[in-house]
Parts: sequence; structure tokens; C-alpha cells
Amino acid sequence: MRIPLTAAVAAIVVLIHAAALPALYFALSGVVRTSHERLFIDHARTFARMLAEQLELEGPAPAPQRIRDVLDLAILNGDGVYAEYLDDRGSVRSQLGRAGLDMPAQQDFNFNEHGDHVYFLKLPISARGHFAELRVGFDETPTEESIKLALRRMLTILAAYSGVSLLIAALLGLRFSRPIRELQNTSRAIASGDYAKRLQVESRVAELQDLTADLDHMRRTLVGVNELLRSEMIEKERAELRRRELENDLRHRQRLETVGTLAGGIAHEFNNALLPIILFTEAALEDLPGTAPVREDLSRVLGSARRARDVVRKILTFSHKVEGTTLNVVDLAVVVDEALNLFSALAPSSVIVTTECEARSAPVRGDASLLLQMVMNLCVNGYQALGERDGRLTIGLRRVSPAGAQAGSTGAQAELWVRDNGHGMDEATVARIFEPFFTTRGVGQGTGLGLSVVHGIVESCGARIAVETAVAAGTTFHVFFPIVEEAA
Amino acid sequence: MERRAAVRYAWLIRATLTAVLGGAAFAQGHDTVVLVVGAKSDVTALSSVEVRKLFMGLTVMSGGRALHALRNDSDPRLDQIFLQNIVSMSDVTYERQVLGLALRQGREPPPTVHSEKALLRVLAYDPAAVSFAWSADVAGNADVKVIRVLWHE
Repeated sequence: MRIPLTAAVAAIVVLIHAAALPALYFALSGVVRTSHERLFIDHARTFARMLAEQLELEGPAPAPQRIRDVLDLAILNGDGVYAEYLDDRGSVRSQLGRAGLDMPAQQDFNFNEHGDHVYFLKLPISARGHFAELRVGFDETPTEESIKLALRRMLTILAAYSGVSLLIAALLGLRFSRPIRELQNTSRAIASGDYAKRLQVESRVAELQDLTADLDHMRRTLVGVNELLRSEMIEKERAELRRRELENDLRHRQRLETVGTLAGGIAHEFNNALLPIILFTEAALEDLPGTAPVREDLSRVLGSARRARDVVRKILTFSHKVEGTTLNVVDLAVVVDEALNLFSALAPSSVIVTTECEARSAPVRGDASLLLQMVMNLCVNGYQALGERDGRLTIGLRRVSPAGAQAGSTGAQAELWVRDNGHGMDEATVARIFEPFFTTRGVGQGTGLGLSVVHGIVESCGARIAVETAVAAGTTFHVFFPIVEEAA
Repeated sequence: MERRAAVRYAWLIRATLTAVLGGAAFAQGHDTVVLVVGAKSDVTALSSVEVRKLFMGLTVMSGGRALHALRNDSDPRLDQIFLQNIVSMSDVTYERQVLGLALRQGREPPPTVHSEKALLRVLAYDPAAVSFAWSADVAGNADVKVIRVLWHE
């Protein structure tokens, strides 16, 4: 059962008053009644005594008229309603009292003892051997009215007190429940995710202040733990992502390595086979007279053999088995400049070629001619991605600090990138672009060795290559070369 | 009914008064309270004012000696009659008055006896002692003498 604090406090006050007020009323009414009755009895007894002593002072057997005067004065001056003097001569009774009123058999010792609303008492009078008796009755009604009036007033005061108490209880309940409601609202806000909301209430109640401080301390602790868990989870997710990337990269490298080894072996054998073909064909052409009819056929054989040798050389480049290459310190900026000049001359007017070279020099280790071939291949690949439509090709070079470098690098790097705004590639295509003879173009439109050669050159230079692409959003190739420091 | 009985009782009282007023006292029994002293006491009469003063703790002299009041508490009804017809005040007022005199003037409140035997013993021993009792309880007792009727039914 849910009871609001205000209602609970009010109910407690009502219960307390329901139990205490009747008891209080009866106790107080007893006090009021007793005090009024005692006052009345004191007055009656004292007055009767004074009357008896005055009659005693009148001497033995006073005159009836004198007795009547004294009795009349007693009733006129006091609360008496009955006065009678009794002696051996008879009875003298005051006629000012209530008619038909007579004293009961026994006098009253307590207030309203006989229920006749008159307090009767009698006193013996003795004056020099003359004995008489005085009987006096006092009206109890005024005292009863006074008691009733006092009780009514007391009841009114108690009712007013109850009302005021209930009101104060309700106000106190509201006052105490307000900070608790504030705490509740703040706690709910925190539970819904607003961890920055501070638990704070304005109250002078020490327990509430302590509770608020404890809850806020708990909030701060929970927020700290929560942040720690969140950062750990993010770090774990990053690590997992990185692990998957590395796994993919490793698989990719292993596949490319396998393909490269296989292709390199085949290319080597082909190269060995092509070499005598080319040499003996050239020797035959030198030996034949210029008018020999087979000369044209031999020239065709030589041309085909040379084209095959080029293909074999590309495959060997991909598989890092190019002979006669040496790694020197080459300024990549110069290479990019040269490639840009070369490509600008070859590129059609529909392609806008721009450069974003932030680095004036970028000394890297590699073969200048291979690096030039790499840049040219990337440019050609970008140009081919543009297709028939107009497009933009951007070549960029910049130095990358270690902090902003790719994961896994340890020193400064030179980033070369070639960006086109062509059709882009999907993930499946990206996964295979460095494989030899893989191409998205039609038969006869390309060998599928351009990016394989790029990959081979990159690997031979100890660099890394990454692709940033999305379908219909263009493609950017990033190549990261370790910078060769001047001191080295 | 009570009033009619009261009227009848009034006539009976008148007849009784007529019968006893010629003598010295009212009819003896538990309907009469009398003022008593020891048989050896020389007190012969006390007015109602002197009786009140005595039981309030004030000094009342008789025969050159100060009298001692004894409050008889052997019977609750006797005590009620004492308060209403002898000192003429309520119990609380009487206690307050006596205590006031004790505090202001150093007067000792009248001692209280709780049995008739104790009362008779004190009266026989102290000739200055004055007390009250049912007339029936002291009738025929040679050790005490009745000096006044204080109340009768």
C-alpha cells in the first residue's frame, strides 16, 4: 500500500488526537467539574456557617420576624433558595425561595447528590441552652451552567486545537515531502541517463542533508565506474576492430604472397623461356637479308616475345623478384612532381589533375624508377575509374607525424595519396584489387597487373598501402612511406 | 417521593427536638455527632466559633490551658460531617487553610485518629484534648464527657 508522506503524517496526527483528545477531554472535564463543585461547596458551607453563627448571636429564641428577616437576607444576598429555622417553637421558612421546595431526609455532602439541583445542608444552633437547627438550600443550577459553559469552551478549544494541529501536520508533511520529491525526481533523471545532474536539496533537516550527500557521493562513484566501464568497452571494441583488421590484412598479405610466389615462379620460368626466343629471333633478324620474306614474321615473333617479357617483368615486380633494383634514398616529392608532369601530358582534357603537395621533400628508401611506375600506375588506375565522363584526379603528398600516423608505425611517415572522384568500389572488389590479373574492366581492356605492381613496389620499399573507397563516392589510395631521417 | 419523605422527616425531627430540647442533648446514636473531652477535663462548654477555631489549629484557652483538637477519621461519614458541619468547608480548602496556618504561623495541624479506641485512649490521657464522635460510640463511657451536640440527623 502506497501512502504519501503528507497523508501519513496527517493520519498519524488524526490517530493521536483520536486517542488522546477524548482522554484529555474527560480528564480536563473532571478537573473543571471538581473545581467548580468544590468552589460551590466551600461557598455554601461558609455561607451557611455564617448564617448559623449570626442566628446564634441573636441569642436564645429570637423573635420569629427577626429570624425571617435574617433568612430573607440570606437568600437575597447569597445563592440560597431555601432557608428554614427550626426550634421547639416551630419552623420559620423564608418565602423568597422556590415554592414547594423542601429539604430531603438527609443533607447533601456532594454536589448534585440527590439530583434535585439544590445543595441542602443543616447546622445546629446552640445559644445559651436553647437548641435550634438551621436548614439551608443552595441552587446548584448556576454552577452546573458554569460547568457546561466551561466544558463547551474546552470542547471548542480542543476542536480548534485539533484543526490547527492537523493543518500544521499537513504543512509539515508537505515541507518534509518536498525535498524528498526533489531527490526522487533527480534520482529518476540520473537513472534515465543524466549522470551529470547533481543531487541537491534545500532542507534544514540534518538527516535529509546527510542522505542527499550520501546519495550524491554514490552518484559520483557510480558515474566514475560507469565512465571507466564505458571507456574499457570502447577500448575493447577498438582492439577487437584492430585485431580483425590485422587478421584481414594478414590473410590478404598471405594470399598475395602465395599468389606472388606462384606467379613469380611461373614468370621466372617464362622469362627463362622467353630469353632464348628473343635472343635467337634478334640474331636471326640480324643474319637475314633485308628482303627476306620471313623477316616480317620474325619481327612479329620478336614483338610478341618482348610484350610477354614486359608482362613477366610486371609479375616479377609484384612478387618482389625484379632483378637489378637497389633501394636508395629518393625524394618522393621529386618523384611525384615527375609523375605529375608525365601524367598531365598523357591525360585527356576531360580529366582535371590537381596536386596537394604539402611536403616540399620526403626522403624515402626505394627505387626511383619503380616509385615513378607506382605513381603512374595509381594515376592510370584513377583515370580509368573516371571512365568516359569528366572527372578530377588529385595527387597529394604530406608528412605525417607519429601521433597521426597509421597504427603500427613508429616514426615520421610520408603519405602519398591519389584520389579520384570515379565510380568507387564495393568491399568485394577492394578485397581483390591487388591480386594479379584481377580487373573489373572488359576482356582486352587491361591486364589486371597495374595495382599488383603497385603493391609489389610498396612492399619492396617497406611501405604500406590503404584504400578508402565507397560505391559512387570515388577512391583514394594512401601510401605510407617511412621517412628516412637526414642524420641516417 | 424523596421530598415527601423529607417533609415527614422534618416533622419527626421537630417532635424529636421538642422531646430532647428540654433535656441536655439530642437522641443518642449514629445520627448525632457530639463534641467530647476526657472525663478529667475541666472544659464544660465551647461555642461553635471556638470549636471551629480549635479544629483549624488556632489556640483556644480553657481553664488556663490550651486545648488540643483531635480529628476523628474513624468513619468516612463522620469526616464528611466534620467538614460540612463543624469547619464548614471542603476537604481541599480545609487542608489548605490548615497548611497555610502551619506554614505562616507554625501552628501544628490537628492530629488525626483513625479509630474510636485510639480516640478514647487519647481523651483519657490528655485532659486538654477535644474531639468529636458519634454519640452512640461514647454513650455510657465514663472516661469521656459530652459537652455539645455538633450535628444531628
